[in-house]
Amino acid sequence: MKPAAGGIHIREDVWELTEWDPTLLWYARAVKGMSARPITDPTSWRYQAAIHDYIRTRDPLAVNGETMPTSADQTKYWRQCQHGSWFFLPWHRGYLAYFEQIVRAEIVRQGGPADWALPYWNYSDDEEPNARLVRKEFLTPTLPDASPNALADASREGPISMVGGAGDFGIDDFDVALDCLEQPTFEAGVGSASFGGPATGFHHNSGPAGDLEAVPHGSVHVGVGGWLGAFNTAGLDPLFWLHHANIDRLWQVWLNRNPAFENPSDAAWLTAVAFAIHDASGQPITFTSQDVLDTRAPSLAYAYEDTSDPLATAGLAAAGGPVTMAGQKPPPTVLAGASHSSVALASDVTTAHVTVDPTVLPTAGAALAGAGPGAGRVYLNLENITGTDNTSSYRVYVNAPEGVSLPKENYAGLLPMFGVEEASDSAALHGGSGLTYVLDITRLVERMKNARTWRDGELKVTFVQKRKGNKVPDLKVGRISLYYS
Amino acid sequence: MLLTLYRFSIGARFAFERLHNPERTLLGLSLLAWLASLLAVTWNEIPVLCISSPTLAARLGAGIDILVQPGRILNEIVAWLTMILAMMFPLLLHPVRHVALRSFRRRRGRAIACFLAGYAGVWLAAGLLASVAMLTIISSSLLTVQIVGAASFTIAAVWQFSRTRRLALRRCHRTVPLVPWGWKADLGCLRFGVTQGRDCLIVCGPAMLAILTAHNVLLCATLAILLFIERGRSDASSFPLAGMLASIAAARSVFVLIG
Repeated sequence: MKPAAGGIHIREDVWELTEWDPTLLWYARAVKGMSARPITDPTSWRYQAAIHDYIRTRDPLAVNGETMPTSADQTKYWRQCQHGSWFFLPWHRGYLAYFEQIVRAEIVRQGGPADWALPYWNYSDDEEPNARLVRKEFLTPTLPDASPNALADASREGPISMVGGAGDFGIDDFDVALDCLEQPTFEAGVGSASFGGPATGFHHNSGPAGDLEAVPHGSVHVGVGGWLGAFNTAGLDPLFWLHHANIDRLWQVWLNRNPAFENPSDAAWLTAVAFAIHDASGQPITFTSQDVLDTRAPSLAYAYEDTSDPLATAGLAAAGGPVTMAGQKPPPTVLAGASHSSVALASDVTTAHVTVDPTVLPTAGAALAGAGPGAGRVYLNLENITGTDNTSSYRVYVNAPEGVSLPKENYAGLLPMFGVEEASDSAALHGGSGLTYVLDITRLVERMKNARTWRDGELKVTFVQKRKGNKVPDLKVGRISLYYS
Repeated sequence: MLLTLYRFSIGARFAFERLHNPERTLLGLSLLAWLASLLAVTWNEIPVLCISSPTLAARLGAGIDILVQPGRILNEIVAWLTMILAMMFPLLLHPVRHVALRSFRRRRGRAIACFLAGYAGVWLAAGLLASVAMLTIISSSLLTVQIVGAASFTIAAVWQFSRTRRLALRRCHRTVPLVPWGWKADLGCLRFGVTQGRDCLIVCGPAMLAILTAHNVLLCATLAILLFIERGRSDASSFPLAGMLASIAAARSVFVLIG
């Protein structure tokens, strides 16, 4: 555990910690302490999880007859998670920061160090061979003193196998890819991709997810599965907080990559929406996006030990293409083609076709008719994905040849089905629109044009399932569409 | 409260700056409809029956007879379309944006027209039924009219908290995949409009019916603003609108009691 420096708590890479490092030991003790509190206590483990989302009939820790927070409190403080929205990152940052303070307060109450900070799980670290594994401290049933280990007290889909005590949940390179860091634009328009998500108000409905929210955020949720695999139970898994600490860290990594990569400057993002939560003493407070921009501010007081650019070592500079300057609208997009009907996703491989509208093609501009620097961007939209199977992710390929092994050159992106069940239920808070993902396939189109494998009139889209768990695959893509800007 | 209003104003200004042409057109039509309402106040053109019929069935029959008179039904259609444009169109910014930007540019206008036709059709059908009901009621005694007025606002206020309404409000925020080409594309947009109209009717219908008994443009405008604010969130609080409706119900009840 690194000591706090100047009042700033240092969040460390969990794979840099020694076995049962005090950071993990005290985390386990704090989780146990918080778990003992009633659900009506804002600093209790279950209350903190319910802030993300809560469905009483699906609460695995529900006790018949227990006193619940008032309906007014539940409405104000629970089920607040922001997804498919430009508030995804700032809301989760505030959520994590106040959770961290509550945990630290519990640690201090138990006689532990006031320097404690939430570690992060850097599963994308290519230099750490175990990066994609779950540390043994989250799997072993007991602490070093043989008392029960609260970090392992979670329902998960696995591990598939054990590697030196750590758990392999089958998380692979696709799940932890950092292509999102190359997305230059924070805010999405309709049909276009973005780093942070589309402009919304306070948002429950599952609109298009930003690139970071999709991968690695959604894919790791699906990869571990179990409680972590559903909106309404994700916060119950102690891994959830380490996972989101990494997502939060990647936001800072993105900002550091390129001076042109900026947060929105609109007041509508900065100050127009205030989120209600409780501080470490259980007192109600509110925060806005502006309040959480600087992690070193006194209200947050944390920093990451490493926010260096992981793509710099690969020789990849920050992406080209149109860069939205802070405060400007995302570039307009035009619908260029679509599938004729919905696409039911099979349990292994599914193929669908997208037809480019013949009236659009001649006027499509640089994006579809040409290629190279200065050309527009091309986006593949997977709209209104509905179903209940939140244990699957789908790799998407464009114009891939038939065969068992699909070429990496045709790989477009990954669709994790985290949240699909909640998003598909029209009676639920998330609206029933399902999930919508946008894949930036500009480079893929350029490669195909250079290789003369691009056909102007039609695309073949292939979905390859990666599945865990036993849910029957029942997913359907409402429409596949092609947009250019 | 001031902070809330300030934040709301920021969000509203941002949303307005980001409007696309179809949404601006929608708001423009709404504004024209409000102006027309202020000028014509068509709701006041409710005829008084020459003969007050003793039974409900007889009054209902008389009401229908009035509605189907030449020119009368056209008046009602125009009045309801004006109401839909004025009060309901601003609630459709999000679905109209979805229909517009998820359609090919060359058929964007047609897609929006199909959507609005489906939506307006639902409200028009409901509105004409409401007109028959109103014509039936106003031919009763003044006391009956006042009791019905107070009761309708009370029912509307209580309805704000119903689960059925809450679920319909959530569905209002839903988007659906749109077929891209051909007659199925038109049908899909029409169907989307009908389902949005149905959910809107569930959410707004009781309050609109109550307002119909009041015939007050200021009340209509207040209701429209509260519905617009509520439309912004799928989990919006029911209290502001319920509070307004309950207050009017209370006031009308007092009038009933003092006779």
